[in-house]
Amino acid sequence: MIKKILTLIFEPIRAFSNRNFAEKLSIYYSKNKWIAPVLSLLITLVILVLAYVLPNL
Amino acid sequence: MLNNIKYMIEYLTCDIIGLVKKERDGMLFGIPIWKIIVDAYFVWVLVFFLVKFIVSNKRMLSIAISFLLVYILAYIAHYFDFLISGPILTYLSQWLPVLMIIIMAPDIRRSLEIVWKADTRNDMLVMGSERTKQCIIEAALYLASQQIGALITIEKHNTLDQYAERAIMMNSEVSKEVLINIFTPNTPLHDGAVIIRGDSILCAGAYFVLSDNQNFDKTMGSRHRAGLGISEITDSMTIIVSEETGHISIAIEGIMLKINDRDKLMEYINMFMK
Repeated sequence: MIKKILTLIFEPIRAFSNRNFAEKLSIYYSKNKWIAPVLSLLITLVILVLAYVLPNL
Repeated sequence: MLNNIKYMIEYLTCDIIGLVKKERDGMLFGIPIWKIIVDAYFVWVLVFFLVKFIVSNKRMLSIAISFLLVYILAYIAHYFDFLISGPILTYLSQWLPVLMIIIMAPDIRRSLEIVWKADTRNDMLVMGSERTKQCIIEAALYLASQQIGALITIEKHNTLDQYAERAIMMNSEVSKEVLINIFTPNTPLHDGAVIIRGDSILCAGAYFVLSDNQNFDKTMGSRHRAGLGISEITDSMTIIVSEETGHISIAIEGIMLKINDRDKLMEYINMFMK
């Protein structure tokens, strides 16, 4: 635990890459193909709110 | 804190509802609703393509995550107006898209190929008969006993046409003798993979994209890497016979398993081809 904290302080980028996020995300995506359209829909909604709603408030 | 968030949501909701009420019929924020819907659809299509493009390749995803990290750091530095790291990170984040295209050119090409072709599913799926299974097993065992390298890929839902197009088309019935003959060294078709669709050998001499999975032994040969590579991007199963050791392995869903005996091989093929 202390080693992990020390790595996070001294080598944050390495600590971040050690988590293997890309590997985990890729495996999750290959098992749950529905995630792509749902994630895209959420991103689209955020873009729409930023483009249409916020400037009109 | 919670009350603040609640208040903010209520404020925004009231504001939006108020705005909508003020608008004339068929208009939203002074823009025709149909325009907003079509615009939203176009944005969704583009975002969907981009998401699929990034997540279809592990290396691409890994680069995208590190870029995201740089953008977050740049935003934090910009927000707090840091004197040194602010300009450096802003400058870096502006050049990242160009850097990405230069560094990732081969992967971008590969990802684009996957985005267009990997999901094409063969709905008229017919798996091989009992005779085909027996022929594949017999051939694999014979090749292993003679220490002849082989790569046999059995297609399932994801079509392997894009690989077959560049290989030698055969369209012949699966038989032990034909398979052995294909992989016999110093013959024109022995290099590359055989693709089996249903009860027929679709092609021989097919080349797959090699896996870059770091979890496997670095000394793993290119035949094994090819088998693993195709199993990562399609739902096919590949039987690999090692030229050096004569061991049989199967690659399925990005996992490679060493097969020790005939029964185990039969079990996996039965499970896959049912």
